[in-house]
Amino acid sequence: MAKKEGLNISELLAKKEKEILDAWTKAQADITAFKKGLITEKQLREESARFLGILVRAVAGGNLEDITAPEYDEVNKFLANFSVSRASIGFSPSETATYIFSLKDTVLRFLQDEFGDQPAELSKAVIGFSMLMDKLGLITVETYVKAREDVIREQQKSLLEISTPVIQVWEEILVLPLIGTIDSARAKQIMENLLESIVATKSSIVIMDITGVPAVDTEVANRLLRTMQAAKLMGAECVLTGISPQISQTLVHIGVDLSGVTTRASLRDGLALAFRKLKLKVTKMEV
Amino acid sequence: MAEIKRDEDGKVIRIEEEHHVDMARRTAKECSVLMGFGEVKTALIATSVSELARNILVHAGKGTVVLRAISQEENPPSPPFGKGGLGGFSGERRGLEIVFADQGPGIEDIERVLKGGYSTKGSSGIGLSGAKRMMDEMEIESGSGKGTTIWIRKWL
Repeated sequence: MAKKEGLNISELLAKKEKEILDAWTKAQADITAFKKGLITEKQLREESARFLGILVRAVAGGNLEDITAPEYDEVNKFLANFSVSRASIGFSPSETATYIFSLKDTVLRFLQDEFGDQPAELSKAVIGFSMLMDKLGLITVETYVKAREDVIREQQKSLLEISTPVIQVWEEILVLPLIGTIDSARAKQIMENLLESIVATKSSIVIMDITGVPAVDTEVANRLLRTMQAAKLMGAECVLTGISPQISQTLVHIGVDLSGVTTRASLRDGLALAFRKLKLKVTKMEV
Repeated sequence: MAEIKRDEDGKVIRIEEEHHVDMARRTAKECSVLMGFGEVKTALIATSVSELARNILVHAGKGTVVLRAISQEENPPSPPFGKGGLGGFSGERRGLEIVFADQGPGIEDIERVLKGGYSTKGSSGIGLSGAKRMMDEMEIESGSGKGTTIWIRKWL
């Protein structure tokens, strides 16, 4: 039975493709975005014709349920591109989804004409086709969201680049001012930047300042410790500065062992220590 | 002990990616400050949340963190000095409760994990025990293959 319904809808779509397209395009004229002039009637008709053609081919085998099946590959591809191109010319995701949903209304009218005298068949066909179109409409929304996520990911990457500077403040002294959360990606970046800078500047002392780090849990502490160990292997001594009273108490409570690390309260103290180690002295100029 | 009353609306955070851990920590910090916890207690709460949310990510892959204000009647006095009887007796303490739930592999030996220094993932193994020390209360419900639910509380 179920198979027959599918065939009926597919047959109907194939048989009336031209008429459905006409009715659908006409219905589109009411859509606000169309009125805004974002897209011409000709473009709209071409796009609609392409989508309808692809859809007719996809449902030809009677499959109205599984849109992950290979016959739907082209539909999925079309919708993904469609969503992106619509977004780029200024359509909102709901407008794009509404466009797909609007085909549902048009086709339902044709189904009504066809199966008007068979209520059982009609309701089955209506439900089947509605569900299919809902799924397809949602694909456009999902694609839109995914595209946005890609943008966010890209921005995160560029943020990563600007947020891990290594500064040479004096001969052999590097300062690593850490600001923000230290997640695994940043920890890796910090480590790489630091080790490269140690080699490039032939530094022997690294001051790691965590004034701008909002929280240090065991994982962050471990990442810092690993970075310091790596620097040590390269022959650079590390001084950890900028530990706030809150972070200090948290570290004691949580049980992180920083006994092997040279620490100073402020960056200033760390710098003074570095000067002392290098046997440098800062004095006031005599005038 | 009197029953803990939980506020109706809590903040729910899904943990699925690394930045969600930081989101949970930030939310905990905001809630804590809003409730009137001091800077140090706020740091302790935020760090505990960071530890346990990260545990969800590392061990279970995904899970949920729920933050909620709670209250509990303190030393409920016996009648006839009950509620409203002699003023000043019926104290109520307020606090913050955070629940961490996942459907991960579960903790096989809770006692051992709470001792600290034991890890199945090559980390320091002090996160859970550290969180217990940092908070006022901690309850764990878990078992091999049963997922894990952890409640932590801090009172104002």
